[in-house]
Amino acid sequence: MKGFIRIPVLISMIKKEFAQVLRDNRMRGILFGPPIIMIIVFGYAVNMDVNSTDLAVIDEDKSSMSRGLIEKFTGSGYFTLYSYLHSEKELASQMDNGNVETFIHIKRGLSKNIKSGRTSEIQVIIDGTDSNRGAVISAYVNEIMQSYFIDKYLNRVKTVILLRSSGVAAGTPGVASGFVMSKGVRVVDRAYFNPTLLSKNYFLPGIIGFIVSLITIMLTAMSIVKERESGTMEQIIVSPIQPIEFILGKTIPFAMIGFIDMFVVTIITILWFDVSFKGNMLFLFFAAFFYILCTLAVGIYISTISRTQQQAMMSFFLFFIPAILFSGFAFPIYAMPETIQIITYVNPLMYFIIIIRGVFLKGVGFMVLWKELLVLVIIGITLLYLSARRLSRRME
Amino acid sequence: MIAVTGLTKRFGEMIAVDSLDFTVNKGEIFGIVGPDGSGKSTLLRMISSILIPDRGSIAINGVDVQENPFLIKEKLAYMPQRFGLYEDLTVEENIFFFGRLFLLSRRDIRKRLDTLYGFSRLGPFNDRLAGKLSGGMKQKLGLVCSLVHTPEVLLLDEPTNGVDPVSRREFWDILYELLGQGVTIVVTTAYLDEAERSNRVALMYRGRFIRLGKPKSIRNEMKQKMLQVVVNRPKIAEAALKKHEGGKIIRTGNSIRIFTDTVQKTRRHIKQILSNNRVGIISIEEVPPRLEDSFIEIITREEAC
Repeated sequence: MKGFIRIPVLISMIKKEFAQVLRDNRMRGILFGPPIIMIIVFGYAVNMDVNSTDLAVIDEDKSSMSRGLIEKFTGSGYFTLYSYLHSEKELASQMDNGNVETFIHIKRGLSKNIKSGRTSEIQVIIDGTDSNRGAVISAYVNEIMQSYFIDKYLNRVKTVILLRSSGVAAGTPGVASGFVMSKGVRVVDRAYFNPTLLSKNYFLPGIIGFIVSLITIMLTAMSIVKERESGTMEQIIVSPIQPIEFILGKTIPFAMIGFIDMFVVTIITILWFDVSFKGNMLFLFFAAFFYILCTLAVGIYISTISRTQQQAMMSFFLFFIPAILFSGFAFPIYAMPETIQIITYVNPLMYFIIIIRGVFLKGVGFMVLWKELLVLVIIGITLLYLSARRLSRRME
Repeated sequence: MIAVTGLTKRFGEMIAVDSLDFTVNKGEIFGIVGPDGSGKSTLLRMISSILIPDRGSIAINGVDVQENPFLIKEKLAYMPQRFGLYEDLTVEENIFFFGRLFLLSRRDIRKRLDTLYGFSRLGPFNDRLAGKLSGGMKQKLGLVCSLVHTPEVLLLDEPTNGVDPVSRREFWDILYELLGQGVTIVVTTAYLDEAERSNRVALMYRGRFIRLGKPKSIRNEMKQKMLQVVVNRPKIAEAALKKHEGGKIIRTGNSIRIFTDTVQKTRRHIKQILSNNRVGIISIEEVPPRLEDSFIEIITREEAC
């Protein structure tokens, strides 16, 4: 009697679960709405790429060389000339207003100095409020300078770049990176796996992990707590259903929904947002299976500590936000202090995101990602075992 | 059928059920009457294996509830005060779901539907969502769902609480019908009149059965009439009345309630005592005794002996 799972009982549990989810307006809304909205919002809105920045210039040299340099900037497609300025004072107010992000100061005598073989200096000030963006602009500036002065005057121009945060007086160096181009050597960058360095290629695969977690944890926790809230849990307990049948009946439907959501979102990422998919879809979903074990476990655990659906919602965020923060989804783990890095090692989402990105962008599979997969398997089975045991103790 | 021995359950400091011993015979309605918080629900929840007792044991047909919960569960039905129905499933879906939990085949459930719809008259509503039913119909559906698997023992926790009088009568008709089929029923209630329809009644107060017997003998034991006096100096009045009337006096705030057999005589008597003690009477009237008052009266009478 006890021990083995009775399929008819399980099937009627699963059927009932689907009927409830599909009939409840709130639940039905959660199923496909948020995942699709989220992937589309992230796909369009979360863009760390710098496509256009406003440029202000003080050109004291007024030579064909200085005009050529400015044209080179505006012609690059990244810089739009906002205005010519006459003094650094004007610059301060323009930057504080946020009208201008990049400022180039070409000193008098640039062309004369260079042509007569002397070194000359060009000052560039970049708004560093957004440090990522500042770094990207700085890289663009270097590249344009390099390509403009290449060949002829290679070793004679010194670019001084100042990153500045608004509020700090103009000209105060935040991070200064100056360099003199050395003769003859030219560094050419090429990024592997994400050659265009588009941030959507990096973020969208991460979002897939984010969405799968959201859906599976939320649905599992909410549906179990709902049973308790509506008093049906007592009826379940007095019926001869076994805890394991109940738990499977509560998790299988949401695992299935999680898979469907993941599939839909993956397809949108590939077909709509043009993120290249280099790896094996089967391997990705195989890994997802073990990740979903972890999220189901978390959902069950939340249901054991919450009495109402509101409480479940609050506890959900308590788990979800740290899981996102410490997953490397947006904030790189290598930059975290070592003690905090330890936390990330027990975060299943971190491993799953590594796997998704690896499969998507690098096209690697089991041979490379087996370690991450193994950890997911271990965490998934352990968590599921522990929280299932916790729930069944509460049922008996 | 049900044998309870030494059953005890505490919640922290409070003793909800205090070393109870009793048996319920096969095919009878066993009524448990008691005011709120007397431990009725706790008792039923222990019998239905939802709660684990601190001490004592429960056996149904000689099988221990805690040792063989799964064996018991198949024979038992428990209907809590608020039956947990799936409000977003229809009447029929609820019935089928609960039937399936007991491993009944769809065909068996369908066969059983006629009987279930027959006595509950829920047939016309089979496609309605359970959440859209009225209170009385929800209660009937709860009963139907707990009866799908033809249990031998039916535990009902205040099944008619908050149900209109007509539905309440219908509900009891259903219980009698079940009784005819040999089902053993344990029912709790806060209404004495309802308990009188049982074969045997237990009066439960603070975790104990203070009386157990035929409804008639219990009814006879209880005083039927009561006077309620509202006064301006309740403490003095209480002390003075106690001297003359003994332990049949219950004071809450500035109202005093007194059991009596002879209303007119006692009323005159009270008026006199109170005016002798210079207590002003705000009102004096006859009221129906509350269950809790009757219980206190029985207990104080016992202590006086």
